[in-house]
Amino acid sequence: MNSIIAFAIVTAIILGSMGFGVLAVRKIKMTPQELVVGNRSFATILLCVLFAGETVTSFTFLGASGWAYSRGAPAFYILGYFPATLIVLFLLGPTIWRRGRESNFLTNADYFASMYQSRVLGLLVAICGVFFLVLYLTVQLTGIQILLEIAGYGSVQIGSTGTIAFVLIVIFVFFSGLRGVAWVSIVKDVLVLGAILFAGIVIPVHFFGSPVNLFAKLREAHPDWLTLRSNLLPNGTVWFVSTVLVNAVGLVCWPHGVAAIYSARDEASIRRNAMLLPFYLMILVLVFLAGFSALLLMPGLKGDDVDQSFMRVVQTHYPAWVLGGVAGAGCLAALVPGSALILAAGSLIAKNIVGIFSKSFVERHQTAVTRVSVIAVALFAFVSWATARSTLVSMLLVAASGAAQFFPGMLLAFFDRRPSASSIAAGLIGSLLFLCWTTAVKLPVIAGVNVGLVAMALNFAVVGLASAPSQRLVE
Amino acid sequence: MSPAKRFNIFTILFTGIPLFAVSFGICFANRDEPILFGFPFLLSYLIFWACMTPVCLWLADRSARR
Repeated sequence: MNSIIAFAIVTAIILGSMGFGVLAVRKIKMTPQELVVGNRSFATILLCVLFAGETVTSFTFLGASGWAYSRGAPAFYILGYFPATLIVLFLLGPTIWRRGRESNFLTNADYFASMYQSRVLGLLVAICGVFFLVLYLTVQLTGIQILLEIAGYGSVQIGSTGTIAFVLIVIFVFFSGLRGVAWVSIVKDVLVLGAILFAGIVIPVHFFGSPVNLFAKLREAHPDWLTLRSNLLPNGTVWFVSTVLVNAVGLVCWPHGVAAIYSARDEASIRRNAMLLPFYLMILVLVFLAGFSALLLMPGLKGDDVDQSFMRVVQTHYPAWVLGGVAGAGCLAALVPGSALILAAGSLIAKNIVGIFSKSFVERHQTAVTRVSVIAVALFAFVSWATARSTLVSMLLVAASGAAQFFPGMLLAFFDRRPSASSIAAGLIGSLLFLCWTTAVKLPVIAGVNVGLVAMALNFAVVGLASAPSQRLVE
Repeated sequence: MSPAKRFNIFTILFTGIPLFAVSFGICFANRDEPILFGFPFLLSYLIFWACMTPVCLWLADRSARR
């Protein structure tokens, strides 16, 4: 009975908000530009909810509380890197937007191909981008799976429900495009806000009287939980600083982040968006409180189960309709970024991979090709998720730090005197090979520094070395 | 307008300060005390800078426009 109530609510939330998204865009003609970057027309508010939708994902929802539960203070890095990534967006976003508008870019691979005048570099960026996006998409699928499992009170066959949720995503993206995703983000933000206020305020007040008491109890039980370990230890201060820095470039590097930048109406919208979003991100503090509460109420979860910590508390101590509401909000927090990811990957394939071989065909049928690519990406992600989940989890580390490796190329294109396309490609390939190696030997930090940052330093060094001889020839 | 023209000393200052604060700055804030409203100092510090970031960006925007 409980599982039926919870499931009914989750289903109603998902179907209702997707219906809302499709209705919101029903009168808009779907051109490739409309589908992928919302016709470059989003003003500040729609842009804000889109960025919020892309950054506060189910991974934040479950992962941040899971980290607070299993590691404590290192989880606070999320609160450090969001302001940092918005500062980087504020500085670089307007120029990226302007270049996109001048030359009609749809993807980040377009940016590379045009700035460095090399379609082969565009192809390389597109292939890497699709690979990262598919991996990131599988994280969102795992998030949906966890939430549905808990909403089912352990009684439901999850494979089939996960499949249905996934089919819904694809149908939704197919019809609504990025504008629909942005509209659904509004519903998602309201529901997620409700769920997080519940988890971060109601739970601590209910069980501990107030957040102050929660922290007091936590200090008794885990005295070292609220500060970072010193310097070079894993998850110490050096790790914190390097992780904030490498994640700070995320929004201007991930293909779906770049698509969101292009969707802005003007440069001022991007800057205003960067000024407003930090306030919204304050809700993350409540997610930490939820994770800490779970640690005191339900200690002893290990491994992947820590990501379920606060959902388990809700499941055990609250009625089914509350669980359904929280799980439904969490599912939307996976579906919204999931849709943006699929859309970004679909446009990369249509424009920068297929388009490179048959330009005239793709230009004539670009909307259709993008839509077919969307389905192809989704299917590929789903099949690989269903068959090789454990391999994907280990490769995810490559994707997370890997997307940041687009940064040197994005940044150096700002200057009048640019490195050659081949040196950018060499830096990208070199740093990705390095990341594959560190993942293979299970080395998340080098001397306390996040390997993503080490890889980026290597990336810049390779670009510098590779372009030095040609510059000397010019001089 | 090229990005170089938009950036002046104030833009760099008002974006650099919060960026430094949320990254390298935490090395100086990594402690539990003073406890404010029960929150550990490290968390209060990060919340403070997340709130200051919009203010700094607003100032940076104003100074760039001038």
